[in-house]
Amino acid sequence: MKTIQFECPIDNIPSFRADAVVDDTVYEVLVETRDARRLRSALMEMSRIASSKKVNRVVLVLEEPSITISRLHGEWEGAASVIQPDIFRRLSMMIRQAGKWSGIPASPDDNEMPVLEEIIQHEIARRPASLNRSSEAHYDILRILIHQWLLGKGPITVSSLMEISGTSHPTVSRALERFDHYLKRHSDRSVELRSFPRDEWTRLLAVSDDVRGTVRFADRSGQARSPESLLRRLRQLQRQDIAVGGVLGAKHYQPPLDLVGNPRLDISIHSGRKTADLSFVERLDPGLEKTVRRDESPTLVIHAIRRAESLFQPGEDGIPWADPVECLLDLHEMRLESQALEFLNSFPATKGRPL
Amino acid sequence: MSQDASAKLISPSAVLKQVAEAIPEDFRQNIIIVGSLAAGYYFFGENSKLQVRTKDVDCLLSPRIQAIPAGQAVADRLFAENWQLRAEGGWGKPGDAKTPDNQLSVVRLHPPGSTEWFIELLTVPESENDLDRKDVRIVTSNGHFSLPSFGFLSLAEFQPIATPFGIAIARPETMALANLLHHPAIGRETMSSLIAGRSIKRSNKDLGRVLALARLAEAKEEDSLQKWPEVWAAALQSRFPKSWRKLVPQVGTGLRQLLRPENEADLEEAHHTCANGLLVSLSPTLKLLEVTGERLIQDAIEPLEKLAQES
Repeated sequence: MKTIQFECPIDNIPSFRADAVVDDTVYEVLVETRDARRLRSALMEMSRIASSKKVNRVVLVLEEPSITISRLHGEWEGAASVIQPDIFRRLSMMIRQAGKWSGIPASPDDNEMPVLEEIIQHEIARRPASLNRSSEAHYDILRILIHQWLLGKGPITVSSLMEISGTSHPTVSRALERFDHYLKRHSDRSVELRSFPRDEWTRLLAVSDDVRGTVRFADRSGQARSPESLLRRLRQLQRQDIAVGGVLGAKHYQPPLDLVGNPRLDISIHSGRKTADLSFVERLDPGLEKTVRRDESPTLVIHAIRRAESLFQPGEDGIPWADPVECLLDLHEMRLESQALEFLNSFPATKGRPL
Repeated sequence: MSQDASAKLISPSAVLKQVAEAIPEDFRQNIIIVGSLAAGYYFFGENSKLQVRTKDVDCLLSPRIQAIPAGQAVADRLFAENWQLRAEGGWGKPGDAKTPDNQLSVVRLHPPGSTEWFIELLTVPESENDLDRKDVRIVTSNGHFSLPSFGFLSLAEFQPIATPFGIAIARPETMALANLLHHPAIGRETMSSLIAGRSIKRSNKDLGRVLALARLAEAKEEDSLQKWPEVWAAALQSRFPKSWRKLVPQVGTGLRQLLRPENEADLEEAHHTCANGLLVSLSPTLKLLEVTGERLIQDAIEPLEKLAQES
């Protein structure tokens, strides 16, 4: 296999380091990208790199994108209309979804595939294992504000934000500064969102697994128990620190939601700052095992709630419901994008102004 | 040991109907079918495409007080209808008045014109203390035979399920319980016949049967195993009123032993019997059987143990 140089500077392109370089080909990697704008921006950046005389070819490598293949083709054609043809023909996209490779305008050949695999492995390995506490707190506060806004609860004081998130005044203040342009500040030092903070939300989606400590479980027996069976067994455990989210949670808040069937059970566990104890999973089904493979359909997905207050809503049959913001994140995580939008638009805050 | 028993695929409802029609009408109410055929009929009797692989059709004569007259009447009718004694392995010769009870042959009869399967007449023990095999003499028009009983067969007599043919089948739950109690540990004894070409320990075959019943029960109705402890407790209290509490702790010991990693070879034998028996249509994996065993322990055995402790 050819020599791969990682995080490599490119002549004539100041302050840029390519994710990987092989001979005169530059590779840029996007992992689990969900945002078409991020993709467009990457394509423009590629055209800039391809304009360097020392670069012959630029490849954008997409690892498990949440954007559909047809949408990727659409974005590619859009880029073709604005990039000079002699630059554009030196660009390509290589996409790995569910472990399978495809490409635009052409799929990778047998020689390039091992190179791409190694580049992806390197990129995944160098990503931070988890977010730092400050970043987690920021997203906790963001979710609390969205929760408050979605349910039409009005302004919330800084002290309430501190109490619910379990963080200090400086931490809350820093978080509020970060998305100040979305906030309406009141004279009593309370705040509320003016609108849905789409940019911040998109950033949250990109790191949602880390923020929520998501753990997936898949069936190992070949005869999986249904999500409904897992839920019945969860109810028998009578745990108040575990709440139901996902499709079931979304349907609880918005029964008319266009969601038929339930591919998996999403639950949130209020673990606070401690590591969540997941030993109860065996009581739901001894056939479940943790999986990190993204091409495997999980039967059970668990998200940790680390803030001080869970915001769970009491359930009528022994198990609480996860808050609607968690349910919304779950729908995105399941890639039920249109249902997520429908769910979001069904709340009082968005009435009359669909997002 | 005989050669491969080469059990055939048979249609549960067709065989059940044939057996019922051959039995005198007055005694059909005394017959409970146990074993693979009963399980096959219960789980997929309505689907004529699904078959079970078995060679023996075990007929339990119940209640015990009716067993001798019923056994004699059934055997005589079958002889009259030209059912043939199964001679394989030197068995099948009728005894006479001088033959000791424990040397009498069991009534095993092939239907006329076929050797694919045979019926075997059994009965239930006289009391809850009769846990070993007992042979009861029946005198037929063809000589003397044994009507054997085994310790936990009485559980299969509990709330049997009626069929449209006038005879009943044992409940899957009680058959599983009888097998679990019969094997509190993996034993050394092997089956007298090969199973699909292999020598298999009896305990592994019977515990494998338990796993097959549990798997089929879950496939028929999800979470159905959670209903088993209630039936088990009622059956134990009904058939073993004095000793049921002592029996409960041994319900799960054999299965737990089978599922230990160091006993994978035994679990594999259980898998072999299932894959060539009751689960032949489902192509089960070893992992599926292992998980089924763990689910059964969690859903049925542990709650039964808890129930016994609390009562």
